[in-house]
Amino acid sequence: MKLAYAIKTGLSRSLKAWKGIIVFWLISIFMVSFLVVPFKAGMKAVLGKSMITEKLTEGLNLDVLGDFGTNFTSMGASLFSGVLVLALAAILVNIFITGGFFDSVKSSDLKVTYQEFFRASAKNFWPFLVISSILYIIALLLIIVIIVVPVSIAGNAESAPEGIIFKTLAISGSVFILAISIVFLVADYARAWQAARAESAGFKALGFGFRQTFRTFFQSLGLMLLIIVLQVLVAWCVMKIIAIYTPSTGAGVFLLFIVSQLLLLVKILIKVLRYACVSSLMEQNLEIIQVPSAANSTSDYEIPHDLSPELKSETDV
Amino acid sequence: MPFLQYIRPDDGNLYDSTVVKIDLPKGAKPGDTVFLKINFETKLPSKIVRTGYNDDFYFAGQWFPKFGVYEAAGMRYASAGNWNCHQFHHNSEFYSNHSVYDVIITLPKHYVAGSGGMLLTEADNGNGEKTLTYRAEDIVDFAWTAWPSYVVFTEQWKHVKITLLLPEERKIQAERQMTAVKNALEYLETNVGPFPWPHLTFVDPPSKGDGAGGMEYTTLFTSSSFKGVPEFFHMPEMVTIHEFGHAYFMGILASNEFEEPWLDEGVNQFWESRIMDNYYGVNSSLVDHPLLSISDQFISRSSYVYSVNRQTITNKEYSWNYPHGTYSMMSYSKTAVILRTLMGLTGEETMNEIFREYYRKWAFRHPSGKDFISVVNEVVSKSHGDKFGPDMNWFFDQTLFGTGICDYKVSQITNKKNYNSDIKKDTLSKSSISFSEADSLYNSVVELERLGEIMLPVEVLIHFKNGNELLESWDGKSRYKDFFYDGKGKVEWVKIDPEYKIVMDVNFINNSMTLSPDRVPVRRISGKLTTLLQLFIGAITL
Repeated sequence: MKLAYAIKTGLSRSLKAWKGIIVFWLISIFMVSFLVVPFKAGMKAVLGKSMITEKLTEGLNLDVLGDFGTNFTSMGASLFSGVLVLALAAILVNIFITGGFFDSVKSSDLKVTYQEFFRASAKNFWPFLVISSILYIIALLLIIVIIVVPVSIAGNAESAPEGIIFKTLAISGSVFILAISIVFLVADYARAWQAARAESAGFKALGFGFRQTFRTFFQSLGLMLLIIVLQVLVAWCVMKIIAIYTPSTGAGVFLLFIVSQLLLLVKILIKVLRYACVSSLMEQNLEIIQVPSAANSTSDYEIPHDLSPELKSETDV
Repeated sequence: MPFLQYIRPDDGNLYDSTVVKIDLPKGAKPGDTVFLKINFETKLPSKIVRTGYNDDFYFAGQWFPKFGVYEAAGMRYASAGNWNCHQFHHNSEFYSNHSVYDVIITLPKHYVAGSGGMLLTEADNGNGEKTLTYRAEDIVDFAWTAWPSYVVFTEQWKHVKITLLLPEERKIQAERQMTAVKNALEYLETNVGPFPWPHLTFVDPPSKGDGAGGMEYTTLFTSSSFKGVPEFFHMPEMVTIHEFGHAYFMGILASNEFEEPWLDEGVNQFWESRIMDNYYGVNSSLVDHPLLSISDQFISRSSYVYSVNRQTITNKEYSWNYPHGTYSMMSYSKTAVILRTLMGLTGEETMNEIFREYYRKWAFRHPSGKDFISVVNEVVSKSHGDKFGPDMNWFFDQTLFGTGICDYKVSQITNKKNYNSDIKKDTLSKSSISFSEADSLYNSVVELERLGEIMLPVEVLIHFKNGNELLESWDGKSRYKDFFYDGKGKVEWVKIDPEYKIVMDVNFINNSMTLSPDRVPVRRISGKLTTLLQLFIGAITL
């Protein structure tokens, strides 16, 4: 019941955060453009007035890219380092924006305004940075321990049975998906808890995230896996469309862009749905009743003082 | 043994004990027969590098004393009769006579064995062992393998009994492998000549024996793959076709791989890409996926064209002498690209005829590079008269034995409206031009340049805005060439080598120019990249 209610309320709350979704989508395009626009200009400059583009009409042709010569190496290197910078920027921007998202998906009847969204983003930035940094380190360790080490051992075994690398990869991958789901849950519970508080308490939030994740383990994990599957499905659709559809006209290219961007918007919506569902689940489990805040609060909403004993013990950590 | 001594004919390396010279106690006269009985013991390496063992897997290659080739005066480059026998090098293994092998192998009963010979008898020794007797005729090397877990598949293709040995886990790939080898047999038999042996065994070694993969020993060769190779990735087929190609060309012609690696590796690479293109798609013969296509030919061309060392050395070197890691690029890739270019110039049927003649003339006779080139000269003359000159030496001198590159470029298209034309000046003034663009009179100039040292004849396709097209020829010798046109319709685009026949050209981008470039592919690639990067952002953020 709690799960169904969480999904139901999560859906309405995530739709309520549509302004934040638009903001995040626009920012993602803006960030990516810093990389893609110079890349596109570079391609145009190298190709000049050549008709070699006829070899690209059916898709990416390595032969043509190879003829870019040293430009190809330079563009590849720029793209690679650009992606690293993009990744770092995206992580920081995401930390900022999720502050607004978690504030938007709290239990409340008020409309989400842009001002309020960004105010909450700014308020939650530092604690969210602490939460995210620690969880990224944990995720990195998980990748090393669960995937890199076993696969390396399997790959270097001289008398290993046939296909051991793929078997190891499949098992490691499955275990990693479970492990990363737990990391997501910890992150979401911690951020939901932090978003409901007026003061910054990143480490306390993280502690809450771990406790809450393992206290409601199967319920939370089920929800998380469901949402991950949804996200993967949408991502797969986007990839499939990109792979299959190779338009040869300007209008076709525009249509492809619109369709893929719409699907990306859906993907962002599902991510916000995740935040909303976890927030709702947390509120149900802790019986939080959110009410308008006191006049001197930094946020419009905060945890009331007449909490249940369980919640009190959580918030007084 | 007083008559036996190790010699190091190639580099004088005192630690090399791979060539032994035996002085006969008594000189042998022409026509005499000498019988040698050699008792030898071979220790297989435990880390498989082409040959060796790992756990219960065995692959025995280069495992017995093998004769060098006696080259009589006039054969290949020999001015006087002499033995040609090189040390064992990392990059080359083969130059030997066609011989008959009778091999008896005793091994534990539960082992499954395969070899380059025909199995004559299999006897149970009663002590947990069995003895296999093989015979192979007129092959240049004999190798064998044994492993308890091989699964054996056999098929008959015309006169050839094909045997495939592979691990149980890769059974599903057996059909792909069999099809690949049958494709290669069919293609080479059609375009070159028949496969002379009645048997052919090939092995897809297990992971523990992957060091033995990708090798050839005439009637036995090894492929390479792994469990679950996706259908769109034709790597197993490529390796199978490549190694079979060696088994075919080296097996039949037996050129000297030590001294002229291009004649073995390059010729084989050329045919590999032709077979792959023919059966698996011209642009997608290696990778055939909606997101990415890679052709087999691309691998050869890119390896040569984009190599920073492409002008370091010529193909005249012995295999172990290529500097700066250029052996593979020069022997495999550049040669394949040269032969593709030759096919582009002379045509596919002429190229097939060259190899048919090469096969007819030189099968089982150890041809050299000059023998191959003289066949090319003979066939091209017969097919094209003096279209390419008295011979094709000019081609090989520039490409195979030269270090220059080939690069042609369209540098400029200019179209000037001709207001002073006799036809128009009576009816039009500069201020009242009302006739359509296509009907205008133009003085057009197309400017071409040769940027590289290699001079090849090229075709130039010129397209006018009114739809007319002209196919011009340029001998490609001068540093630049201008084409002038006066008439209706301006030049819209120009392509040098419009069918991309001159694959040696190191830059296809500058081979064409248009007044209205198509930007759609760039926009499409950028759009897709944008979406992919957004997905990436979504995947890495919490």
